[in-house]
Amino acid sequence: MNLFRGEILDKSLHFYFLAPIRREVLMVGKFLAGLLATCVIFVTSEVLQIIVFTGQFTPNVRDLYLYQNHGLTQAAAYLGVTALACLGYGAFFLAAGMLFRNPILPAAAILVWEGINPFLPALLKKFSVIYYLKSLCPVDIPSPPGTPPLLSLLVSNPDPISAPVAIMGLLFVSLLVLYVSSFQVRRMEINYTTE
Amino acid sequence: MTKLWWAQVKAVIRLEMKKTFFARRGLWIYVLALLPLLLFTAHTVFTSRDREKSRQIARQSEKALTRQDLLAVKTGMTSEGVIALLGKPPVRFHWNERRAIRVTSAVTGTGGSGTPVNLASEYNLNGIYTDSTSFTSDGLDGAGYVYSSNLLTANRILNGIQFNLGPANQLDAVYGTGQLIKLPAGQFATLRVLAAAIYGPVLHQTITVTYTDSTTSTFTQSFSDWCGCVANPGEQPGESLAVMMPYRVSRNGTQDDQESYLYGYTFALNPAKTVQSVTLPDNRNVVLLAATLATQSQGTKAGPSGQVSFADVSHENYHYSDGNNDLYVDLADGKAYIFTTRTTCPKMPWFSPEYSSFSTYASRSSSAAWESS
Repeated sequence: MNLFRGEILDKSLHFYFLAPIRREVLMVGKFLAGLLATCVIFVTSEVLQIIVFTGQFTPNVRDLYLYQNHGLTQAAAYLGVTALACLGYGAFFLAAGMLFRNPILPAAAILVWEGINPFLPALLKKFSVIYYLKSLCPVDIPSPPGTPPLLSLLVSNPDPISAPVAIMGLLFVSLLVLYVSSFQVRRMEINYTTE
Repeated sequence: MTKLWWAQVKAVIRLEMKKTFFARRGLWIYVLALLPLLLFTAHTVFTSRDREKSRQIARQSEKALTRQDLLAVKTGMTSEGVIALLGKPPVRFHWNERRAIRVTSAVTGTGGSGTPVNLASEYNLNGIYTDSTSFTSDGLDGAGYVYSSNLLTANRILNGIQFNLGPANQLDAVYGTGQLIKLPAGQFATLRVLAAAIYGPVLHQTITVTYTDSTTSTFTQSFSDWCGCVANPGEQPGESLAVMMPYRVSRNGTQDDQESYLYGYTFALNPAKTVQSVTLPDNRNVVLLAATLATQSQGTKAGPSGQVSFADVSHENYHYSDGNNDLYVDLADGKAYIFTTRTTCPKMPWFSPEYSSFSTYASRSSSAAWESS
């Protein structure tokens, strides 16, 4: 969100816009920088979570899980899901930061939409990032008997799609959002006094 | 051209990286990323601490226990039986449960004084059924539970006042909808009712008695819950425990093991005026079962009053562990209850088909869940 919005608030975006560089290229560069940074932060956090979580088990149990029960594969899958989440949400937040003067409101709307996703009808569910991310999670968390149905909906994805479709879907949607954003960045005018 | 663009993209990335990582506006990203890590760390710390405690208890056991040993303990066993199976408990503690042991209820039968109010035309609820009678109505509480007519019987005398209860297995109780109930004409000192609340206590309800001269007496009364599953029955001001019953009847006719209560309430009337009607609270959770009008002289004689005596029942708890699984046994009334089980070294749900829950089962009925885990 702050890739462009932050520059406007800092009154420094004109330096980029005055440079001999296409605005679409600038946008892609900024987006990739943001994506790289968020991936580093969140993937590192994810790695630490996995280390801390597996750390509570005895070495025998941990080794058994990691090396003989697909533990490493599952950990890698979670890291991939985290990176894809950075990509998907990053694209939407970039668009929000360029389309709206106050991007907090659309960002909050996106988060609310993602939050209520488990309770939406099957068709509407597909218009979200979280639906595809949950489809990619390698472990289906079981709901113990007696779990309230609403809570079960939150933890499980009753209608997942295949991993290739989920990945391609996320990439396609992210590229589409970036493509739309590129039109916006081309038309963008700076007037710091109105900010 | 593409090469130039790519070079420009790389240049922008280089310029942006420092700003992105160290921007003050981006601090919330770090917080967002660290929150789950904090949760996992806290979980790991607590689990490790619990497991260490379990291992300590396992080490203190008389003999080395396995999970199968712990599973062998069943609800209903005696203290000796548990000790014979698992050895002397490494951890034992006592606690006392406050339990109602003696209740002086309103006596059954007829012969009491007062003028019972005929509620037959007002019954809108099936609140009383005979034991072993299955029914399809929603019962007294809307969830299929009712008073037992075997326990409640058709007539009760409380403090010398006669109460006539409705006929079992049909509409026999009145829930409040703000309705107006006609009263037998006459001058009375008090209106006595047998009533209760459902779904917890219902506070500050208004009951209005109207006299023939159109004046009224208004009363504010709180009602305690009818079920023993709610704490502190009969604690509302102006309320007395009229009938205490050891069980309720459920929809399939079986006896539910929850105690049930019916309470008595007294509302002082203007004895110089002639009563005409009473208006009930407009509240579905207030249920009236009987009402009687009494004169000044009635209801003053010594008689059974709704009083309940409590006593402390001693519980002894044993705590066993095999190092990974904990077993808590509660011994009371000469029987053992497995009231809590816990796996301190949870198997990861995706790790083994034999899934053990992280959760603590905290009820006596959890033994089945434990046994099936």
